[in-house]
Amino acid sequence: MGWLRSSILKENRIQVIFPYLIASLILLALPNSYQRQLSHLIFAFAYSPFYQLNSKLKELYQVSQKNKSLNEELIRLKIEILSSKEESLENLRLRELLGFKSKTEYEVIPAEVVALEPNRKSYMVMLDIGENDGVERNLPVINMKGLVGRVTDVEEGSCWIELLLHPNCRVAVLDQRSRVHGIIRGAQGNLLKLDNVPTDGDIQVGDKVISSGLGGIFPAGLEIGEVKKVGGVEGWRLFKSILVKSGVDFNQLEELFVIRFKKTD
Amino acid sequence: MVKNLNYQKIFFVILPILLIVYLAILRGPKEGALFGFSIGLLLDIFNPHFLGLGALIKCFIGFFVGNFKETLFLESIFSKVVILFLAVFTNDLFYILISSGFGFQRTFEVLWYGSLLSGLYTCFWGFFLFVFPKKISIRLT
Repeated sequence: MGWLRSSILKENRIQVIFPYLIASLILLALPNSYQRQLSHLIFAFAYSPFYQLNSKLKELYQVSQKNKSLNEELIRLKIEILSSKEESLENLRLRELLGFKSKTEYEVIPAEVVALEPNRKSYMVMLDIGENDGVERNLPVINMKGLVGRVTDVEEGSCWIELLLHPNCRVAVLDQRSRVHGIIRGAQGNLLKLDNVPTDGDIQVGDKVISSGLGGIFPAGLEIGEVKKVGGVEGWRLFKSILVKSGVDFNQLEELFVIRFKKTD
Repeated sequence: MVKNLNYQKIFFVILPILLIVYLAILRGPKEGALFGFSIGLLLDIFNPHFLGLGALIKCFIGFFVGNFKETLFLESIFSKVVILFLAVFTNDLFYILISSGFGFQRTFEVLWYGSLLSGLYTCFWGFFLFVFPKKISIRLT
């Protein structure tokens, strides 16, 4: 190692390292709290810009990923819309070929619940729209989850809605899968009862129940709920005892839509 | 041994040493010491209890490697790689020895299970670091 020592000493290179040596020793000798503070300071000075850049890049990446997935979703939905349009046109053509009456079209009137019937067991709510908005008696009322009820009383600026749970409310329905018809009415709590289904009617738990359009009040295809329980198949009963759980939460009704009929032909 | 070679080891030990040795060989003891001190200090803030220790060790490594530049036959890739290995080993040896309060048993364990492999790993990358710039410069000339 003599050659190294002589090389270092000969050209006074050792002086180079002294400032660093002293600085390092001072840093090592500092109390812990000062060392920590100094570390934070150096960190803020040297690393923070990179961390910020890193977080921005991460954010950018996430946004780009989200954008990508949204674009995919958009394309998928566009394709679905196109195919629905095609099916709708095809349906129209076929109906014309068969000489069917053209289907009734509907428009929806948005409304807000402004009052509840004091006696909660009567299952009535008041909406902030009335005659002035084109509301009439017996118009169906829905929300995003399905059928809510029908209009029973109309005033100028408000109307009363009879909910599906109301003892007087009856809706003609059918099982979406098996096309078995029945009549829905309020049961206990938020559950509905599906009546008039013969014991040999093919109804299974989990089946979707939709309005059949019979009766003329409720249009066909409105979602009512899902079959929760199927009973009454034993013994000599005529009809099955079926309970349906509505998708609508009748205790939290806020924004509703009244469906108004609009004949096209 | 391999499980000790994680990304922290690569980021906090292998890469800095590789850069310090490369720069010291390229530029000399002054720059080697400065670069070693700076890199060491930047890494020390992640372990503020020994603030300055890594800076001191890496500063010495940069300085001595810079001195080797003019005293050893460093045109040889082999000698550069050996110096790189020694640098990793020395860095670990002094850092662990001092930070563990001269716990020789602990130091030996870390050197045996960690530094040996990380030294070889550094040499592997160092080999490419030393070979390629040289080949590129030859081609350019």
